[in-house]
Amino acid sequence: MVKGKSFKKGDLVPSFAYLQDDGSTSSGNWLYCNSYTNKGNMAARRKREKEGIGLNSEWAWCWPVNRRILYNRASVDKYGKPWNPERAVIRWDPNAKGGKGGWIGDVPDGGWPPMLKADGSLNPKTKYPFIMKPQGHAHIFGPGRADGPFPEHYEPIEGPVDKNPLSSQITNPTAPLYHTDLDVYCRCDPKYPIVATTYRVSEHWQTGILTRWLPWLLEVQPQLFVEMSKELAAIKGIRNGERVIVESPRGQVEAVAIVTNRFRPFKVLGKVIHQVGLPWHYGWIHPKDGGDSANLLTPSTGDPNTRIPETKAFMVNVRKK
Amino acid sequence: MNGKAFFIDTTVCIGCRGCQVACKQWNQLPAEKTYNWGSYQNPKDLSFNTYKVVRFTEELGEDGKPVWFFFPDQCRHCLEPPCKEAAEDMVKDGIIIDKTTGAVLYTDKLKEADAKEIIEACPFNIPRVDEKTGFMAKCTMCVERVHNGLLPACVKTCPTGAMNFGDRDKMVTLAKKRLNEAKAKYPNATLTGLEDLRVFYLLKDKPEKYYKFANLRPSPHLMDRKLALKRIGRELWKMSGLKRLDGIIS
Repeated sequence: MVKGKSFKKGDLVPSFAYLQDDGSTSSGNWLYCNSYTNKGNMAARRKREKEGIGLNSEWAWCWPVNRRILYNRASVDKYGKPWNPERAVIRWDPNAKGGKGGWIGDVPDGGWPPMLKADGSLNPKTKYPFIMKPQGHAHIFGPGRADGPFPEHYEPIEGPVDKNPLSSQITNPTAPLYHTDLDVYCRCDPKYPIVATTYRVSEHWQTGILTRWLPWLLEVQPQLFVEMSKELAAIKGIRNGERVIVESPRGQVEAVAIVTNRFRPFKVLGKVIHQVGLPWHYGWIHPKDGGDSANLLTPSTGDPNTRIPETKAFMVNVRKK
Repeated sequence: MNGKAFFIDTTVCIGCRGCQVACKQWNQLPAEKTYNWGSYQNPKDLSFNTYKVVRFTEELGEDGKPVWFFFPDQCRHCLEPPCKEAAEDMVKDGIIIDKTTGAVLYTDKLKEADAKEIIEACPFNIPRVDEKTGFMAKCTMCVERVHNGLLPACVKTCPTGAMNFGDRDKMVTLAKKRLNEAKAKYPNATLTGLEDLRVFYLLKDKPEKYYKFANLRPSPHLMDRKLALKRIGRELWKMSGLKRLDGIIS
């Protein structure tokens, strides 16, 4: 017997709210509780919604408790009416549950009633919709964050242009800088005229420290490569499959050139700008001929709030070995 | 002559090569020492230890956008395999056809045969020989898995539905259905292998953009098999878009 419902041994509870700390129930990660119910695998459901905004509540399953939109009670006014009745996520029906009232639509993010009763008086049982925030309110600006909340385009810390066409401020003034001897950055430097980016391939994971030791994966992606356009390859006299040097103000790596249609020169502020791209999975110890880490090239800076590194846009030069 | 067949829908292939690695894993085949040769494709070709390789080519499309072509290459398990015909002259039961599935299988006896002749008999350049032992190898259709109600390893692992496997007639139906659907997006889409093979490819564009597999190499041995080859050749010819086939076989 839990919360007025009786269960027998082996029953699956309908939500994590029924989990008990007395050993009578068991669960893996609570978020996934009720992804399987007595009716079976909820994630295998394939019922399409005929009308509505595309919640498709009976198509697959999502955590928590199959709620499709978090904080969904913020989509209604104080009486529980959708701000936009044409695109209702959820609404309060005062006649539901035998006159007690209830939410219709998505699984409510907390079942508390709307702010106001039908007569306009405050409902003492209500709760603000942003239930995971201390005051229950939405936040636009996260307190204590270095960077502000509104969208702004800044150029990366390195770049091929000397101004930001969208702002008088060229780079983010709150970008983290580490001020060591290796933290050298360049902008419009003829020694490093090519934009570089780093990325992943499906055969390797992160630095490749695990996947490079798996012979079947290494066989398919054995070595560091650098992809470039046919136009750039022609300028540099580089042939497909040839070994080249990629260098930035911070370091250099040797890589196999892949000359491809998938890279094309850009035209930026009237200038032709070339781009190259490298995976970053290779490096130290194994395999001996795998090449170095592309992170030797990348700048140490990143997002001011999260420090996610700025490895997607920096400046290099490429030359034949 | 129903048996089993693969239907490989390259229009949904993403070139992840899960099939290629799953093949090595199930068959416990060692990795080869490879080098990047200016391509994502590796190993560069099939070998005694590589039964399956996804071939990568690309072009700049008419709309200025790059197009990838992914070709999961493997034995086609011909209904009337020219390699078997070639082997029969040299050794009994070197190449056999599994009764229930139609899989074309190489046995250890094939070691007694001249590998070169067998390799040359294949219009798709599939069979490979271990120079040290003389054994020959290629895709087995994972026949031991299929006999036990499992899908071939490459099909089981495919995340996008590019690799399909089942009763041959059902695969023919599926292939035709997918061709119809693909035509909307890829007007040049074609199907290959429906008449003679147990591997059908749905290609989004002309076959030669994927891989030049019409590499029939003329040899004296093939002369008296002209008819058998012509049957395979007809299909190949269609796939390759070549104007005339005669010049290639004879």
